[in-house]
Amino acid sequence: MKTKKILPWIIPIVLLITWQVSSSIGILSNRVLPNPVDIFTAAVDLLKSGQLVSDVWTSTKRAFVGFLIGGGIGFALGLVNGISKISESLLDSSIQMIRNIPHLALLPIVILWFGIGEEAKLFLVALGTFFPIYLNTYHGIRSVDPSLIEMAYVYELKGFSLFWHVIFPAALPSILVGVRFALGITWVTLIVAETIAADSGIGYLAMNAREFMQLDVVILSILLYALLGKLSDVMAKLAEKQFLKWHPSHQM
Amino acid sequence: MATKQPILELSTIRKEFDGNEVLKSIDLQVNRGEFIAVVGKSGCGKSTLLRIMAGLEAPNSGTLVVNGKELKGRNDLAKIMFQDGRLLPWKKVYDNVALGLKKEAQKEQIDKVLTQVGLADRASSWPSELSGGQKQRVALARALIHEPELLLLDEPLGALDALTRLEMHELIEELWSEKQLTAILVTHDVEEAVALANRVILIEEGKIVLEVPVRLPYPRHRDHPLFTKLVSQILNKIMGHKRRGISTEVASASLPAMES
Ligand SMILES: Nc1ncnc2c1ncn2[C@@H]1O[C@H](COP(=O)(O)OP(=O)(O)OP(=O)(O)O)[C@@H](O)[C@H]1O
Ligand SMILES: [Mg+2]
Repeated sequence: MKTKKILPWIIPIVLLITWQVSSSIGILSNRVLPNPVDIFTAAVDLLKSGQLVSDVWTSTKRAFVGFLIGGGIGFALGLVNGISKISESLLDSSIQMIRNIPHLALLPIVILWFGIGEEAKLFLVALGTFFPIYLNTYHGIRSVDPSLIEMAYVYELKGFSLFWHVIFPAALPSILVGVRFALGITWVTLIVAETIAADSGIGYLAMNAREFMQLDVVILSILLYALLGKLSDVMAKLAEKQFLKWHPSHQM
Repeated sequence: MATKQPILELSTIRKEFDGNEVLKSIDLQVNRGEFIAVVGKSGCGKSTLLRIMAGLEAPNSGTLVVNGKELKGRNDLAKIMFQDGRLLPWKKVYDNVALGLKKEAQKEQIDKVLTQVGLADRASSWPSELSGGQKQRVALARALIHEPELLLLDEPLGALDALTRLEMHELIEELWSEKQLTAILVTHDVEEAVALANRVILIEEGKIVLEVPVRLPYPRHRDHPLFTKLVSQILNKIMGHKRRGISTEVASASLPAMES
């Protein structure tokens, strides 16, 4: 029981120790890879100066707002197109067409349009999150079991209550898959956008440190992105657990 | 008197799906308070007939009159219990039963109907945690709580074992006599039909080929001679030993009759 819990940690810990030791005895140059203690000290310094908190906060805010805008529009359009045939034939093929353009390829033109302001990052994140949420919402609603809709018709559900009691919960598993997917895209987009065009945020922190050869801060930034990405994934998983309690795959 | 009026009148109902004529010409009068069982081979159109009665499917021709008025769209007198239950998996048992009720105030009613179907202690279970028979009982409770004048049951016991079936028979019979509703039960089990209904209808090739009134007191004993006689009469007809038998008497000596 106990060994099972320890087992997965052995390799990371051994690696960490090897890393620290080889750096201390000089096998691993600090110019290639600073050691864990250095990185930790850098983190503490940045935390004290307030820089770390402010940059993490800036990036998180961008991720959140961009996600909300893109996801919100994607959700709304997925909903409308899933429910209304007219809207679907009007919009869906155009949306599918735009989807073929990788959103990160737009970076140069986005910089031309917005410079390195907030809008550039928000635009890209919103664009990146729009598609997975749109597609999964649309698909989720389209694949609601028609026999359940018929059952609801017998019980005289219509309009909003039909949506709320039947269509939305049926589409929710698919929508949440879209959310998790979109969260991943959010962070990738931010990493690229902040590294190339920003004057604040984690990516800026990294690029700035690169100029001054502060390798420990660069590594720290990478770790921060990893941590934030993981954090949003955990949150999405918790949401799934909460909202899909009824789903056999979430019952133990 | 309105009560004398038949609750359902089907005349020359025809239904086809893409050229496949499932129901050719169905004439049937359902009187208030009757319990009718519809039997027939798989694919003969039993579910289709029931769906037409519920207003979920429009016949290609013929008329369906409900309470003296021709039906257009959904039949609001009826609640249908589907062959596949159709519970909402994201709602607990209680909320499944509450579906479509006007207000939350019906807690007592819901508790009562759940007690009737023997599931009072499962009110807060998810459907996925229930057995097949329990799911069927939830679906039955959901239909019953609306106190429909007409209860349409589409092989509600199809998936159940013999013992649970007998229990459900008792339950359905009890509820039917207590609530004085009109019930139409689709089943492929002839014994079940004879045990519950006061009229059994056999559908073959899109038509009603046999109509047998069952005049036996409830609860019915399966070893009663008339019971076994009726069952074998219907079975014989299904199996192709064609007999003209539109009454309770088994016309065992009659000649094979032509169908047309
Ligand atoms: N929506 C539909 N579209 C096309 N064909 C259909 C449709 N519904 C039913 N049918 C066909 O009509 C015939 C009768 O179907 P129905 O479901 O009424 O049979 P059933 O008597 O209820 O059979 P079972 O006992 O197996 O449930 C079948 O051949 C079926 O394929
Ligand atoms: Mg059927």
